[in-house]
Amino acid sequence: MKPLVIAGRQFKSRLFVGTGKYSSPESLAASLDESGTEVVTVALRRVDLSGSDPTLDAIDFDKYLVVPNTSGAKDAEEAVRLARLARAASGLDWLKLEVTPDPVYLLPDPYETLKAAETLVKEGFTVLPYIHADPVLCKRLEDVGCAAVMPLAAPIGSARGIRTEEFLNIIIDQSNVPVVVDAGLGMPSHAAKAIEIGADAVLVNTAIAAAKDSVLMAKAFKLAVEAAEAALMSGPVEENTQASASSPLTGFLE
Amino acid sequence: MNLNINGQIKEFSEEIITLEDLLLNLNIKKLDRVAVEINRKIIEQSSFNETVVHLDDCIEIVSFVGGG
Amino acid sequence: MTFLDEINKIDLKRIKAKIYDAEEADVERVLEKDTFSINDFPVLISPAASGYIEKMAALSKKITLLRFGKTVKLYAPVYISNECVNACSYCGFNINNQIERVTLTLEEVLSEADVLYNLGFRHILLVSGEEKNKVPVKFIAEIAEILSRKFAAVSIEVYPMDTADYDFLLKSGVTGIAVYQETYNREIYKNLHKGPKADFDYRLKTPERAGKAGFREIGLGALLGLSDFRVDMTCVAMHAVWLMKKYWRSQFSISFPRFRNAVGNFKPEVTVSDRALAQLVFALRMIIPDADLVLSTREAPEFRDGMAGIGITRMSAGSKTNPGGYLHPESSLEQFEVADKRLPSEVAEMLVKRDLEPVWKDFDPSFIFNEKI
Repeated sequence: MKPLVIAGRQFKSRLFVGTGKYSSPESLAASLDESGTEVVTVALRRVDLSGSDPTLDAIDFDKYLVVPNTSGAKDAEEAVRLARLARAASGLDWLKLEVTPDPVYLLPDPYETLKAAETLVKEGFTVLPYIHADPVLCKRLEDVGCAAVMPLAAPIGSARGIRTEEFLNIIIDQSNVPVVVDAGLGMPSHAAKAIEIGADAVLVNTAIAAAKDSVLMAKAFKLAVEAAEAALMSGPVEENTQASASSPLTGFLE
Repeated sequence: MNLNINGQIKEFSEEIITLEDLLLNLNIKKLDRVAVEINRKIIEQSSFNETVVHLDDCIEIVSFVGGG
Repeated sequence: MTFLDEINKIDLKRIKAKIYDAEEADVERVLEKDTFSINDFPVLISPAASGYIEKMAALSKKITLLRFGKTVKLYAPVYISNECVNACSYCGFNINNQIERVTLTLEEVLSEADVLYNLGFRHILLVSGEEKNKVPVKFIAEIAEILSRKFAAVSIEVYPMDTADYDFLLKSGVTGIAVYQETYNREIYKNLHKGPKADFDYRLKTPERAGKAGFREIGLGALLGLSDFRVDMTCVAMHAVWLMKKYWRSQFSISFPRFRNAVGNFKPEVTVSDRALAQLVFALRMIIPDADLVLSTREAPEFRDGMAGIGITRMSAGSKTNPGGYLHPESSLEQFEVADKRLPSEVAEMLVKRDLEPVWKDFDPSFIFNEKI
């Protein structure tokens, strides 16, 4: 298995974790810790002027690579603006590019995402675009310089598991940059499956945050991802699905 | 003077001169995790204490929250 | 990052070991997989796998049917010139060979092409040796400009060029580039080539320049027999896989020129048997479902017929490998001896009999909006 290297930086953990929807900052902090993750995502919002947001305190910017997302952006222009603000706020270049004009399913807009990616790469961002599992789109994003691609397994927050396997297979086969399966993973087995089919990492948020015991679920995901990794490294026996050949196609070679 | 902060018009005393003054007045801690736009232009954190705020400026103050 | 970086990291001895150390148990393990990758290739082409060739043929046929249907594309070459500044030990056009040197005029090339057009071809391959004074890029462009009005695809198999030349040729109507590395073994390559072609690295990076320029079709291959053909074929496969990930908008094809006698009497290291060649084709189809696999008229009718539709997706027919050969068959010496001398119509008939559709034209330039239309 290839080590996970994105934009020249190596990561030991293939589990990235989102920080939204937790029941409390304490739960968030403990879950992140238990997950063993090295990469967390955050969103960018107007500061609440009536009080301070304790969530930010729960995220250790020194321990984790904090990757802001551009959630809320409906088009490339908004995404670029959010990206620049995020960089100004954190001093970091890393970015999860997310352009979701559809507020119901939060599906990513391929055109706006590609447009924004092109601009942001030129401005020096390390861009990780969140998109549908569209193999051609992934190659286009790779071509404009994205550091990885993040195709979805299922709609955000749906916890439906991998619904895009055919296309993830193609993307994994064709990609020259790391593939991070993002969105829709609901159970640790989904994450394990993603790694087993060859994804370089997974990003999980809702499944952990919305579990009754987030900390325990974080641990479960960690174990699942590690299990999948170990399985691949162990040289597994392949499935037997081939039927035997019947009529002689190679008689002419005699 | 009146300033538009995050979409709301707020009144501030004339003693608020720099952006840093404003942010502290608003009780915003962690200035190293905050991004500010004045009239759609991003102000670098290192310039907070030098940037003057003017009457009717539209100011966006954003920071990080939990997200996926 | 170029493929040169990759090839320099590769230890050919290790590849050779992987191939020749493979045992039947390894082959059986691989054959049970759902899908195959480049990592399986050494095992699939190993001598140990030879006994499994019927199963491989079935897999190859299935994949070919899924990806290409029951079609086989046809094309023919036009040799523009047999002049060459290189002295390659194995080639009939070797500068030291005392043969009559011919370079066709524009009119003559067009006349040859007309013969092909009337035979039904719409895909044409322009071939020449390396002689930039007699066959400069401009000349090739001139030919392509005219031929691309009648032929749906104009490919070239000539000397490797810079990106700027490729850009120019693309604009002039060339749609495909074929360039064979001959052998990926540097030592052996060095011993076989004298002249500009001796630059191994430049030649190796040629498909990348072609991909960068944006050619629709890029052809790869090795001259089987110059070195260990299994090791060379593994390198071709790795090259193809690497290129397809980077230049994903291009259609890649792989040819299997098997050494045949040419003037100069170069004796190949190893002869490649029909069975071994078939095994290479099946293995490639299994690991690269989408590459065109090509058998030219170098190969005998029985072999070509057997391979059509179970892995091979493109064939030349009625080829003349000497400049002016279509209008004046006796005029000069061929680059290599043609084994399948059937008329294109006969080859097409054979395909039809085997429930395959001969495809003369699989693209039309009018699909692309450009200044020419």
